[in-house]
Amino acid sequence: MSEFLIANLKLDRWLPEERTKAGEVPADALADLKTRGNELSVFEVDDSTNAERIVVAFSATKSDLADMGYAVFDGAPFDGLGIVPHRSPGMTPDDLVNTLHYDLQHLTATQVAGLAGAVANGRSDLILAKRLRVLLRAGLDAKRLDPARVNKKLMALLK
Amino acid sequence: MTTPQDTHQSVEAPGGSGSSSKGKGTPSVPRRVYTRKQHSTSPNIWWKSTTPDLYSKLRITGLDSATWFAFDAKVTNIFEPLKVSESLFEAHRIYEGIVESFKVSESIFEPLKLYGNAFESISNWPSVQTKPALSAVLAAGTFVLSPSWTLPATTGDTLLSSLEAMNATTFDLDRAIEIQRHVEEAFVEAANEEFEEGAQSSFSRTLVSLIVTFGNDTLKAIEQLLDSPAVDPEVAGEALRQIGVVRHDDSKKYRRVILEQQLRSPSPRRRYAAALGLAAMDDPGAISALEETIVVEQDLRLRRYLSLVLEQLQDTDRCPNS
Repeated sequence: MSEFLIANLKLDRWLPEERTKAGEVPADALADLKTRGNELSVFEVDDSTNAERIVVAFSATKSDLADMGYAVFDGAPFDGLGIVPHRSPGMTPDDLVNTLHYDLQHLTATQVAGLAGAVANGRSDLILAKRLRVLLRAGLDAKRLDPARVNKKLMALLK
Repeated sequence: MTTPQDTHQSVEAPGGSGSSSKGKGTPSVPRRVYTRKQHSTSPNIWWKSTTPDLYSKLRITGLDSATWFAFDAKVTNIFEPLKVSESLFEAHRIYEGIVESFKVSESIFEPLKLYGNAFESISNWPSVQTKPALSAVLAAGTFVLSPSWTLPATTGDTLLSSLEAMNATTFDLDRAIEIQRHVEEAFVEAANEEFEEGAQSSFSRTLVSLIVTFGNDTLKAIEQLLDSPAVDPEVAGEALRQIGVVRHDDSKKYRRVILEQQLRSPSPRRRYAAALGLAAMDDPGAISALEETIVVEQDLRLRRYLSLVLEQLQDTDRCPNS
């Protein structure tokens, strides 16, 4: 199974507190896996693109320029959790990234908790706002990002 | 109610010219007069130990409770050697418009022990228990200070630099209380808010507005709230990020101090948020604090995040316009 990326993580929520047992995920991390209509958005990470491009494209939909945490995790646990990724076009300003978008549908609370474990076992990383600004501008310059679909407030900040 | 103005007359030491209860004669304490005019000119000034004012009044304003407790111990130091014959004096603690009169007996200042009896008695004041943030105290009465007493450098410098950092050489208690109230309300309301990266929160807007409007007074209130274990970790983290994000040059030094302090927090969430705040400030002055934090950081993921912030600041240091 492929690797998947989930963006928009507040990484501090995933840091174990003193009393968190090894292998456990702090409950606050579930706030980063908030479903809407029992769905969650993830992106497949393949060889033709990279995680950073996905995160930049995703960030281009936000209204503010902020540090962006994300995690790349193994999709192997999906089977055991009964999660079937459903490919659907993404809504970012990057067409290539949109082809990598999946919805995790009909999620249950149990599945979300299991997903949290998969994410916690993945590789989390962070793009700081200052660097994100550079990457967004580069994406616009290289026309990977369609300026018409970049969040207007964010566009104003990038100018 | 006794007001400072009412009591700011020249204070005579009991038993005449500054005699001590030990009967060792008249100490060579210069007779000082703190006049009504002086008070009206500078009502809320922190007086250094070398100023004449300390010989007649002791005035402490705008200190948080921890500092007050520390200073209280110094008060103990001041009075213990004297054992003034009429060993009672009054400390008036003014808080939120309520004047609490507090009779301090000689026994409270004995034995001379840091955080001893005086600490306990002060901590029993109701307003200290419920609102530890602000203290304004006027200790007045029939006493003299030890002629040899000076504020120890370690304590004095810390207190003075703390006040200077706050730009609070002068201090408006009512204003500070009002700001404290605003900040507390913002924190309470924020506990019901959901924070998301890349989206401004109502809390962040409020906090930025308060910092821009009231500068270091707001930061002092935030700093004190962050000391409370009751503060929601999510809200604390958001506050630390916003402390770094806000563009306000006048408070930059104090903001960095707070963030660097939080880098040493036992909570990994606080350390993370403080680092993000420092990244937003992009001030290379925080490099050494970050380096020290990274060296001792046990969590590998957090160490990675801290290193990213450090790299950014090092880049900024090399190329300030990057």
